[in-house]
Amino acid sequence: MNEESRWTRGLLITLLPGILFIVFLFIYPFLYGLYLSLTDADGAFTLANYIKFFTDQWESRTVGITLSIAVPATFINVILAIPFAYHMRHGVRGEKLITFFLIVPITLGTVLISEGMLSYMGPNGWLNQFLLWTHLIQKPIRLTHNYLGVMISLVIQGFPFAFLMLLGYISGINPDLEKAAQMLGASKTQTFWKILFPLSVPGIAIAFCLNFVMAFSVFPSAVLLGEPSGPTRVISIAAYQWAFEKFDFNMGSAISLIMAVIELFVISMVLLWRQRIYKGASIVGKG
Amino acid sequence: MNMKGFEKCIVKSINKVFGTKRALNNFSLTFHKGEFVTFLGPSGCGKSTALNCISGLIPITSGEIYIDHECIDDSVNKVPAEKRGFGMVFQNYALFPHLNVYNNIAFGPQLTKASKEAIKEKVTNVLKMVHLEGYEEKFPSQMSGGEQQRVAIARCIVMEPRLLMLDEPLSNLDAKLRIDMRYELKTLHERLQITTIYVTHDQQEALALSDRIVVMKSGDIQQVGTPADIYRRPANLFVADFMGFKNIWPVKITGVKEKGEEMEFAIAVDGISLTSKGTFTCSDQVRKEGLWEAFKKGKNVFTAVRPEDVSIGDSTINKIDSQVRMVEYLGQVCQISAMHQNGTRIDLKSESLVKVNEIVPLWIHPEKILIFPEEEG
Repeated sequence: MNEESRWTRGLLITLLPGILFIVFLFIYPFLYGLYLSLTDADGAFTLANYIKFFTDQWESRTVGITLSIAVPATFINVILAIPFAYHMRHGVRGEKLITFFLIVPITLGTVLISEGMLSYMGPNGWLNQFLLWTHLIQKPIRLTHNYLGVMISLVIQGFPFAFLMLLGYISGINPDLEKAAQMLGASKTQTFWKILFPLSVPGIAIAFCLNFVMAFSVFPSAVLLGEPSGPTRVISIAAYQWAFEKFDFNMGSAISLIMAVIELFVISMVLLWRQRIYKGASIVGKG
Repeated sequence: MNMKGFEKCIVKSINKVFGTKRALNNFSLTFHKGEFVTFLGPSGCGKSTALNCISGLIPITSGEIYIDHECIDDSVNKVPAEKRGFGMVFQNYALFPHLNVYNNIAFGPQLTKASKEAIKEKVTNVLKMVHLEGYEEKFPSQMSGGEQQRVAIARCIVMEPRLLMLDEPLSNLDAKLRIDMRYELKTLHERLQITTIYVTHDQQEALALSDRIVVMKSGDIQQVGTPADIYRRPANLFVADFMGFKNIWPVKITGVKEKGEEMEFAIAVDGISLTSKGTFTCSDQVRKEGLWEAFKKGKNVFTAVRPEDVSIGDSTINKIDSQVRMVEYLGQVCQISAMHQNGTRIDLKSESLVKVNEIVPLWIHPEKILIFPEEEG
């Protein structure tokens, strides 16, 4: 056996676990889901599942509901994260503490945060009690079991994530570039818009995509903090109900695939935007 | 930049403290129009700090900077870096990776009110000046280090800065390219006559380029002088050591003769007796006093002799015949390391080929032996 084929065989063996992992845990379930969504209960080919979803108002409106939650939440998270990451790009005093408090919401998990929000921000929660006591409000404001509750929960979880991603990205930009721009006569604002922002666009795009996917597939917050029977019946709830309450896996799969297509569409829009702004994406130099 | 040039840029005793570390102590210097000044010193000597303080990129702790009669920085009120009309070339070039060569160079002019045509003309001109015609559409990552360096310089001079600062601009280039770029920098300076501050740790670069050299060590200026001054008449032991006076031996002064500015010292090191002659002008006053004091107290002083000033051959004076220990062939000359029988190591350069272990007759001209009192601190 010659050197080269031995090398190839070694490569194949080392890649095998990875390939098996992808095939069995990703490709197979995906194709099976696709198959389910295109068949009826008896296994005959049909487009009925998709047609049902789009013709049934109750189902099709979940797309709009989910987008109306996920898109603003993602914009809030990313746009809020940019100035924070910008100001902390060279490190600030107490950065470790700040980072710690930002990571906590991620580690605690959605359910605990939801429970916390329910008791803190609920109609009889401390927040409302305090606001009533100060006479800033006359009757409790509703911050839970509605659209706003889901939104707040998504920001609490999504913002730290976006912030940490952007901080990593922006602080990786060579600080001499800012100095160079300054020496060429650029003000802080001009340096930000002409240098730092375009160079951060790839990071912003990735943070946006990941945040959007997380927000779009929101489930626990929508159930616990929203009104899952109406205004916050998001698409993932629809998929869940069809699959595990009505045991129609075909319909459930169809809804999941619709979800995936919408996500892919939004992601490709974002990447297109990135490419328009940042032409040098593939050629980040030593600079 | 719409600011006019200056006759003098005066830096008055600026200090810079980072936390508890003093990076710059009472740094004072005057730059004249068109001058090429180099800050030279080992890493951590404060040369880059001095540059950044003058540029306005980092705030000074105390001191003042004047452009002619206008104070641009007194540590409380300062003209920000972007409004000083200075230009800087960075060690890593700091080209904007998302912009092509044209837009990198046009970045500065585009911030002014200049018209598109005027900007285009300017960019085309500087590209010609740095020999990069036709590179407009290239991105920094598609170019070699030397080409990136030229773009960085072009980006700076397109602004017609009244003070150009270069922070170790050649240290990322390979040896040959470094010498080529050095030549081009010199040509460019002679052509444009921009007042330039150049920071380097390379004494060859400093000697080749500068009108004046400022040698620095841990935040203090050690010596300011022309390349010939620095090379021939180092002010102290540190400068001598840094400028390549390799033969530094601790010796005792056994006798002094003074005739006006001429001084002759009899010195001894472990059984060798040597004579050192030199002219001491008023600028050497501190050194002279230090030597007198060392003589009176019987303290050690140090010699400083360049390897190329140690000659092979017979002589009646300053004979230090030694055994050759190592020979490095450098082409034009050999770098030879020899050992005197008293254990003193002698470094010399010679065109004649000698063999290892051979005993060679060596001598040093009395005027080539400089002596310095011990450094304080």
